[in-house]
Amino acid sequence: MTVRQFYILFILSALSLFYGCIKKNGVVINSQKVNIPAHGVFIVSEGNFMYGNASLSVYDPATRSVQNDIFYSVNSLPLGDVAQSMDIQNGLGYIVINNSGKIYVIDTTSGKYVGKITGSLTSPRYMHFMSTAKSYVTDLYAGKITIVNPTTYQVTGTILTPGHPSTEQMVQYNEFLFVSCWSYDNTVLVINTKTDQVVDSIKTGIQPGGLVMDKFNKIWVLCDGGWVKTGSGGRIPMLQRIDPNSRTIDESFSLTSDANPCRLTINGTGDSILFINAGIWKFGVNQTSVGDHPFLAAGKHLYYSLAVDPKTSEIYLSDAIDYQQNGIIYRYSSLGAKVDSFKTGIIPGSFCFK
Amino acid sequence: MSNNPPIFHHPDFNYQLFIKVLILILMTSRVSNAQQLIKDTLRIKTIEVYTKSLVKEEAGKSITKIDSLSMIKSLTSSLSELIAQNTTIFIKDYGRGAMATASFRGTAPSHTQVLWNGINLNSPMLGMVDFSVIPVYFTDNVSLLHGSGSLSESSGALGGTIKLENSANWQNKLSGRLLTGVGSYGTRDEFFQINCGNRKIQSQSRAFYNYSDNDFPFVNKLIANIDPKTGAYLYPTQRNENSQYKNYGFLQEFYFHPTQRSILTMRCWYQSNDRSLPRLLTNETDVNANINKQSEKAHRPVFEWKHYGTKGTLNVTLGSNIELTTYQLKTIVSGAGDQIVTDSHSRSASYFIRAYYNYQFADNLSLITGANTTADNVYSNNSPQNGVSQVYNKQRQEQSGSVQLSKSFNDHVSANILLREDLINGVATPMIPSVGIGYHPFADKGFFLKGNLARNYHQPTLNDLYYIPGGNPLLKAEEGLMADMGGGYSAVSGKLNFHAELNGYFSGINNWIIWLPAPQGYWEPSNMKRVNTSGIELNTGISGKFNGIDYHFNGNYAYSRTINRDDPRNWADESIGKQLPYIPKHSANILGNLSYANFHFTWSWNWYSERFATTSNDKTSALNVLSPYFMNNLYFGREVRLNKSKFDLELKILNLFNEEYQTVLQYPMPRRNYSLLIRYNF
Repeated sequence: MTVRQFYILFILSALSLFYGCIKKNGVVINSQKVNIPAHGVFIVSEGNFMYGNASLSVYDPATRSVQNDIFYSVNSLPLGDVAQSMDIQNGLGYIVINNSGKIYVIDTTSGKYVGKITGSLTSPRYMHFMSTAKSYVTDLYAGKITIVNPTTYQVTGTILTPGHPSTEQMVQYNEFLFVSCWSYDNTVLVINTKTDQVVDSIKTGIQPGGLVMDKFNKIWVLCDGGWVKTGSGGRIPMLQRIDPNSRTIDESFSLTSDANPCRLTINGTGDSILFINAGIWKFGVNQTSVGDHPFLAAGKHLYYSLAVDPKTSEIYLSDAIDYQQNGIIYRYSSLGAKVDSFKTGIIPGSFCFK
Repeated sequence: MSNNPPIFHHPDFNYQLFIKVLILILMTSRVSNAQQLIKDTLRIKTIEVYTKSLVKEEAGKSITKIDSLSMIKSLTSSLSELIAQNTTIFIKDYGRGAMATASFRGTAPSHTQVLWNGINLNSPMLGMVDFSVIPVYFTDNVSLLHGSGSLSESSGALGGTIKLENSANWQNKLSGRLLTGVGSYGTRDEFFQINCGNRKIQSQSRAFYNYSDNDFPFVNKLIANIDPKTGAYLYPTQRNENSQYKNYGFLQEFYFHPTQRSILTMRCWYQSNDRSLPRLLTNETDVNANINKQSEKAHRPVFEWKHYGTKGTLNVTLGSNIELTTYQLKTIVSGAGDQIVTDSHSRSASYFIRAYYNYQFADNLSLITGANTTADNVYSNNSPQNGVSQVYNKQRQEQSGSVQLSKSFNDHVSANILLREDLINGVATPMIPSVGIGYHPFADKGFFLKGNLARNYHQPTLNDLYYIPGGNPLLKAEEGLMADMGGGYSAVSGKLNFHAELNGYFSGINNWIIWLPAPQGYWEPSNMKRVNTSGIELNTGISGKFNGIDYHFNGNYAYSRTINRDDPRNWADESIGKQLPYIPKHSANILGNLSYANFHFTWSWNWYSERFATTSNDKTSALNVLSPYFMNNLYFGREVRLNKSKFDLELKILNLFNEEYQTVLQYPMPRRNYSLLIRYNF
């Protein structure tokens, strides 16, 4: 190497020291292939609020293996900020991203991003499918339900809910949609899906969140009672049953109030309800009382979310640890025996069974 | 269960040929005659003091001063830029014109205190300071008291204290300066100062105004549409919307010399800041959705009296820091009007009285006694949509007394011992001691070694104690045990000036306060068992003249380890033994300046190593890691002298290499941008 070559090399390396050190955030050029099992369990991790690190994982119950961060690996795009829920319709997965104002649509075989629904979504929460051309999307504070076409990904209309800024979960009975109004509210609205108008409202306990329908066509709602010291009086969390024909509450059970009851879920056969209230509580829909102890005690866990496999009735629980690292999922049999546990994304919030 | 932390918690970045540096010397012990004392104080011009550890009161302490060149270069910036480019402190910048918080020696933002002429600017509600709202323009002198060096001022600064001081030039009759700047993205900066007076009274008036549309463009690679024909990604080019900022402020100072021995100062600082936090890059809501606006108004009146006796100096300060903040998050829904999601108001007022007496028994022995009392008053009103307002209105009284004995044993060794005691709402904290030693091992006094041992406490903030929901009145104070060791060398040889200082520190902090979700569904603070911080700080600089070119280089490097030593929350907790989130292991900066004839040229370089967004320091997903940050800025300028006044024209090129980067996950940052500044000094 001549002296001149040496100097050129030296200058180039010195320059590259400044320039080459620049790495671009969040851009992964090579996308990877992911093997999504035929009967996989999708786990939607919310990520930290305002960090944009929500992620999607898929677990194979047969091989007991999990693949994490699949949306980012396959699509080289972040899922967004606070992924709230996921539903599968016709082989497509719809992931509602609460703090990014969009719904990502993926192919459930490859995990590839095939489309998204944006526009008019402020703080979307959950989706309900009426048909291949119509879905409803609730919102945390926009005071409206957005109507979208899940095939064309277009927003086709809105249903305003004046006086009720928060709309949360939905259950359909015949042509009526029952919608819980959760945040700082105590109402379940009834919407006529033919006219897309609010036709009725039912007063419930404080902060009705979860809504499920059992095999007897009764609607169950879990009211978390609100927070202590919010000035709304004593906290009385409740599990209530609504008769969708008379649109009244025909059963009401008080719950212990040391924790935050949430994640109302029902099993595949529609006869057993589960929810988190520190521990995991199980309730047969014909029972006359909630009982005095949980089905699975909390122990050292801070359970964040819960789901029941509609086919096997296995129970999946998430524990977010300190909410700033990857969370854990526990898999239990329907009788409460531990089957597996694995690490997943940050704050695993919801599940979707393929 | 709510995933939303409380709003306040989340968390969300031309000069002269002759260098004149101002130092205010409060304590003098060399002169016996009081008259002589005052005259010397008046006549003293400007010297850069690098041999700081010679002063027995500062023995063992790490104190760095930001030199005047750096001050001038950052005159139109906020304190966040000045600190980021010239010190070992890490600044977490949420965006252009948006909030900026500090991490001094790897500690939390509330562990860095900022004092302005004796009054504390930390919010009693939040505990921290937003560095982006403190204009460098309103201060004349910035110095850093690292770690336990801060105990001479107050307790609580586990990381350290930043001291901002103002002073008058008694020789002045009429002078002033005007700065006007235009920059990219519709940015306007206006600064004005006028000083007038005589040997008995001086008035200094300053005002500034800055505004920016802040709508910088960028290609957003975190969202994409799919091209229907090719299936390739189409990344949108966007603008940073709804991020305008408008800030203005006034500072009026009066300095009186009622007698030869005393100086009475009155200062009044008013400021208003209006800005918004930028939206995340992954946000695809409507431009009418999730609009946030934050406005802050501050009133800071301060009175100070200094009396120079034969052997002792007395300093009494009275002041207050009143801050009014409003934050609003709303969505405009067509057909339904404005949906106000969050509406928060807060008023925090702190009233201070401080007195210090520095008595020099002899050249080699002194005693400094101090007493201060603070009354904090916070009103916080958080109105969530459709919910009941969550209000708390709380007060706190703090008294603190300190005694420091300093002695020079001979030409080589000096030491000091400090004892501080705090009373919080009438309850005494354990004693807060600090011991320091400075040593000159060689005849050449330029070389020094030092060491320091101390204990410090940081009280929970009023939000930690009383925020609704979640505030925990039973929280314990954070306690730190800190050890410092360091050495350095400085020399002046003709025009050549060199200094270097290396410090190592270890500190164990018990009961570190952290906010975590509780089973009840909201977030609440608790005390972590222990956090260990350790690290190295290097500061070095060289200046001189070579072939007619004046050069000046200053560099800093910091190595910070802040390790979680808490009990694991459960069997799968991977956070124990890991670095706390967002604290870089390595940080460094260099500021270099060359001037020749009437031209000047400055280069500023800044580096942070990768930072983790998780407590487990997880690297398996790029979503949770911030890549190393390199930033280069270049300034060119030319000075023109006109009789007694001076014009200076400077062009600043920020983000010289046009880098795409993030300093906080998914917040947009501007590419290369420019600023043109015209200065006029008379």
